[in-house]
Amino acid sequence: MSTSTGVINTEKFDHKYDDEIVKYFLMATIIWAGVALLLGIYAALELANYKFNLGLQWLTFGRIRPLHTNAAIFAFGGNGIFAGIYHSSQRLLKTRLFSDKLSWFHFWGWQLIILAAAITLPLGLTQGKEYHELEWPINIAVAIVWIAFGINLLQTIRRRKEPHIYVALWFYIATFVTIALLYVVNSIEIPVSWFNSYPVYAGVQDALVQWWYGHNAVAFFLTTPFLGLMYYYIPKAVNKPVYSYRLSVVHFWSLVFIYIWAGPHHLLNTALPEWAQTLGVIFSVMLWIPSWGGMINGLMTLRGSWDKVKTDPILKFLATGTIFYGMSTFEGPLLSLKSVNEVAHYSDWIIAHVHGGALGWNGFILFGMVYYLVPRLWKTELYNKSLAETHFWLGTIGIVIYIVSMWTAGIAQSMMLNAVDATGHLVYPDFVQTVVRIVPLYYVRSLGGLMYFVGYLLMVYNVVKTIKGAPVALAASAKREEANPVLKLDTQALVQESISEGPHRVLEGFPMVMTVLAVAAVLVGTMIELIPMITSTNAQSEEFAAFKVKPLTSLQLAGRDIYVREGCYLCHSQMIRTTVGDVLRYGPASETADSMYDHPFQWGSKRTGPDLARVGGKYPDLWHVRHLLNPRDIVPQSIMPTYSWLLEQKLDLGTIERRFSVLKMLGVPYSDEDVKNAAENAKKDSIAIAEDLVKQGGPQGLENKEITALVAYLQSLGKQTEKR
Amino acid sequence: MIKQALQHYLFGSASCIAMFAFLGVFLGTLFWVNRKDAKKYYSYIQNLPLDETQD
Repeated sequence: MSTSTGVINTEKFDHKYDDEIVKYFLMATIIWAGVALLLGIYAALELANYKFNLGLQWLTFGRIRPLHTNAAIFAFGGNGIFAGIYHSSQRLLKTRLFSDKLSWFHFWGWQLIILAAAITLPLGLTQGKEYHELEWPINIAVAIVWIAFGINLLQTIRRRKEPHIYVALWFYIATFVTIALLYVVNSIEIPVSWFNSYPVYAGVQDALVQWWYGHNAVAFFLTTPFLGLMYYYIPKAVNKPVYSYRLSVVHFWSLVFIYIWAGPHHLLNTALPEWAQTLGVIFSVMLWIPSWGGMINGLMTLRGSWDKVKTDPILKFLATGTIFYGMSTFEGPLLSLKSVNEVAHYSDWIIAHVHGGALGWNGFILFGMVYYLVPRLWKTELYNKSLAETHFWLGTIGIVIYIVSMWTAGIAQSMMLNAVDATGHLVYPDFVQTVVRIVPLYYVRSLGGLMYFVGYLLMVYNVVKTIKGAPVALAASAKREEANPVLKLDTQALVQESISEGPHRVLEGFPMVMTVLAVAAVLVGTMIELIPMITSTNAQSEEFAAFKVKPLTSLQLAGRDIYVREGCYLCHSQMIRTTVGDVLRYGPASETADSMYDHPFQWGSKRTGPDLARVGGKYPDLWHVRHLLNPRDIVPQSIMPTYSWLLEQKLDLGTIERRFSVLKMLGVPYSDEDVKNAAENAKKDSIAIAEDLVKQGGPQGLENKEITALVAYLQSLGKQTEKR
Repeated sequence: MIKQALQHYLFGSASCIAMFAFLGVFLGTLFWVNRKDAKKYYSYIQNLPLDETQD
């Protein structure tokens, strides 16, 4: 543990910081970064060449991708922000963390949750909701650990010796309360079994709730805590105060207020009501300003010290990370314009956008923090500065290769998909025609990721050698102090002159007031968007009055759950947009009513393959069986994995009655008889499909196999809705 | 009645409420940070990360 003494307000205080927990979170950050990056490279290669799926159900892209996103966001990002928050908050508050027990509970609880994800996701135990795939028992664990973190943080703030709460802490507070709100609301689900559940929301409601959650998970897990880290570590690294504290205050409140509205920009040109789309567009565009306010504040803190950025790899990472933040937060608002979104949505442009932020902003800020913290925590010098410089350049070039290849792929594919000739027909009527043109860019993307990973490996080597070299602590720390004289503050004078009482203290000095105001700020957007959506789009509303929608049969529902298990929604959308290209290619635009009974919604967010909203009845059952067994038998250039186990695995109807019962409770119009006979009906339908397949010349022995359920589900798509 | 009102939710009211709410927050914050006594307070607090007693 490190100790220091200081005098403030004439009171002598002696605080021993808990740096042990910081070290553990830091090591976890470094380890999980490697896991997340390797999974990312593997997923990228799976898209470039289907053979990397190895024909194994646990390794298909549909199961690996959620593992990669969870590892990157919650394992790498999560451990990183906890390391930084626990390190910086103790020093900003001049007090040790509130509870060692809570700290360790938090640490081990978080790692166990990550392990639970690593086991359940490849097994297909998933809710099928992006960035919220983990099933309900793990959701409860996340909530408990998150509350432990929050208590630890807020109680540390409450016990502080420093009366004033620096802006970084406001970002940490906002992170805690908003993620709690988002997670709880998006986790309202009814369990069917230990690792299966259905959300209470359906269709368009679920779409809005999930993307209110999804975008704000980015906002309040990948942005606000990192901004807090930026506001601490950049001043520390350059030994200068932040450029404008006033700007940081305006930045904070504007960002926290606006961000929460932006969710609908993930659903533009879809069946989401226009008013919600427009709110999302407006607030997403407005979000550019506070985001750049933060970026400018971070970069301008380096004014007069740009020469240090040339020689200091820590500042290189922090400054470049902040620039990537600016890039992403300019690109994001642009992508939120409907006309731009028409091109970008469902394409690899969105993947480029995400990774510019994740690799550039989040990754680089954490790497900068690692290089800053490791020598200080272990009281030594960094082993090799040149290695850190090389890491920086490999990472930067890797990111650029990644995003440029994906921009190119996204825009090229989108232009091809929307190309219409003089007669009004699609120039590229087959989706695969566009896929073959961009597959080479998937290899280029993998190379970009690989370079980023190699840079990371240099960091691991550097950190290990640094820690091993720790015994030269005393000499090193003396040298460091000489090279970087600490700014001497006339603390007493400043405190006496400063506003220790009065309005600033009330609004910015009390954590409870800050917490309540932050909650209020995020609740405004939440309530205005979510409440009307939920009340105006229930089954009795006018939205659905013009349509008669058949719920899925028991076999179709079993098939839908297999579709979710295999992660089909990650490559195939079920939402024909109101755009010309979509309507020409897939048929009439999807209605809100089409998905009114879908718990969870299946609109999708990426088209690696074609949209499936109206695929029902388009091909015979045998086509689907052959396509799932080996896609290349049907489409020679397909990049889809094989799903041979679906023809071997027996259909598990053990919980089908319970599933029907839960859905009935959630408003799906099943009768009591439907529920009671669910298993029997599913078996009958499965046998009927299997017999039909034999008549069509297909394989024998498929009755009660999973493939019959998935085929039944696929054949239902677009067939459930009739206009009254 | 509330249910019917919400079922007939109009875009215009949502955007107006949103706009005024944001303007209130943004302008309010601008005025707040430029209060007469703000300078000394912010001069102190912006140096908190650099306090030599921290490390």
